[in-house]
This record gives sequence, structure tokens and C-alpha cells, in this order.
Amino acid sequence: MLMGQTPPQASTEIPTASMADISFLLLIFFIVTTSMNQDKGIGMTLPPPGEPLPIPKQNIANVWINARGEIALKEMGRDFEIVTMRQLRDRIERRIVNNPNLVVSILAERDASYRVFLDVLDELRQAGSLHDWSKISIAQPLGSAGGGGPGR
Amino acid sequence: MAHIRQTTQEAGTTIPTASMADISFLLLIFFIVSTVFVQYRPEYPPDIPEAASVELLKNKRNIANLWISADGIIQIDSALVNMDGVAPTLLRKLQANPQLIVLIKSDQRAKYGVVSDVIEELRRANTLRISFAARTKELQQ
Repeated sequence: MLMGQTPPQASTEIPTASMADISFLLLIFFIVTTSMNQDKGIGMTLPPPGEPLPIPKQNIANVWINARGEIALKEMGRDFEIVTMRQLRDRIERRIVNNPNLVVSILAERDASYRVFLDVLDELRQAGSLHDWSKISIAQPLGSAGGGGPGR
Repeated sequence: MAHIRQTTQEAGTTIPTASMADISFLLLIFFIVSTVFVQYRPEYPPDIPEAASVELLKNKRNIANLWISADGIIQIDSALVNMDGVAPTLLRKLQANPQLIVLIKSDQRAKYGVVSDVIEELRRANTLRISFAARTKELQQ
């Protein structure tokens, strides 16, 4: 039995000295779990499903990509012509200055590499970025199930 | 020029730590707000191509990741799916978040046919906002 001992006077204040330690602990946890790397990409909006809108022929330029990575450009009234990336950009840029309603349709073969497709898309976007133009359409390659039906 | 004699005040030798908690709480709140917990990792990490006209995707909460490996294996966020599973999976995600952007992270060696099929499936699922993931390329002129 404790006899004759006076209980120590308890302090009525909340101790705040360890508050910083607690919050630093939480802080470190959140710093570690946060990932700061942001995703980057080339944004596009797809057309809604259904029949494509008819586009006047003079407003279309076709870009073909084949399995060997060659790029061909077909413009109104001309035959297909194999072009380099640089030529493609210059020619498209010249066309969209004359006709801002131009729609460039990219048609790649199924066996083409995704890298070439993205390079072409990037090149067209760069050509268009100076003229506030982004009318790029992605055509379905030959040999895919065209209707988009469920039984693929 | 008059020479003014300044009396230096006796500075305390202790660092004031009373505001330390406030400072760290401020930082804490910033990190809590900016943390997105759910993160997915690809089973087959793709080699993403480079492009010059890339833009940053700001809101991580609206992004659904769609990975395509060089062999054409498709993964959406956490699940490996086949071509028939793309539209139903994304339809469910679109219902949960109508602002959904599908970020297509495809390997640069992947066949375009797979990517094209995926795009058709996306149109079928009505997820029309897409983005082709790319690394930033330095412009060489």
C-alpha cells in the first residue's frame, strides 16, 4: 500500500512536442507512395460507331502505310506516290494551308508496324499544329471484319 | 556620412520548433491530395515509341491504361483480356467514369492490325477519347 504519497500534479496541457514527429511520419509515407511521373500521349477523339459521314472527294488525302514501312500519299487526281516522312509533312502542310477542311485518312496494313503508324500520326499532327488543324482520320485496314460485329 | 551605431540584439540560441508541425502538415496535405493509390503495372511492359507532338494527360483518375505487348497481348488496367473482352471491360469503366480517356500504351513492334482492332472495339464500347502513349522526342531540325 502506498501511504503518505501525494499523487503528482497532472498537467492539463496536451503535449504538442511530438506533433511534428507524427506528421513527418505521415508525410514520409505519402511522399513514398506518390508517383509524380505523368502520362504523355497523342490525344485523339474517335468518331462514334455507325456509318461514317460522307466527305467530299476533294477534301480527302489518303496516306497508306505498308508492311515494309513505306508511306504512300494519294491526293485528288493523282496516283499513289511513295514519299518520305519529310515530304509527307511538307505536302500535307501545303495542302492544309490551301484547304483547311482537308481530312487526312491514314490507312495502314495489318502487318505494318505500330511505330511507323505513330510516326506518321505524329508528323501529321506537327504539320497541323502550326495551322490549328487536326482533321486526321484512322481508316480500317483491309482484311479486318468491317462491320464491327460481335462475332469476330 | 553619419556613422550610426547599432546595438545588436541578443539572439536566442534555440531554433523555434513551434511551427514545425504546421509546415509538415502543409506538406502532408499536399501529398495526400496528389496521391493516387491505385496503380497498375503491365504484365508485359511495352517499349513505347517516341513522338514529338505529345501532350500531358493531366487527370490520372480519368485514365484507363490499355497495354498492348509486341506479341499482341492486351491488358486493361489490371486484367489481361482478349479482343472480345476489350469492349465489355471498357464499357464498365466508362459507366463508372464517363470522362474516361483510354491511354493506349502499345509496343512499337506491335502489329498495327491489333491496334486497329482495339480501336474498333473502343468505338463499339463508345469510349471515344483515346490517347496514344509516346515518349517525348527531341526535335532535331
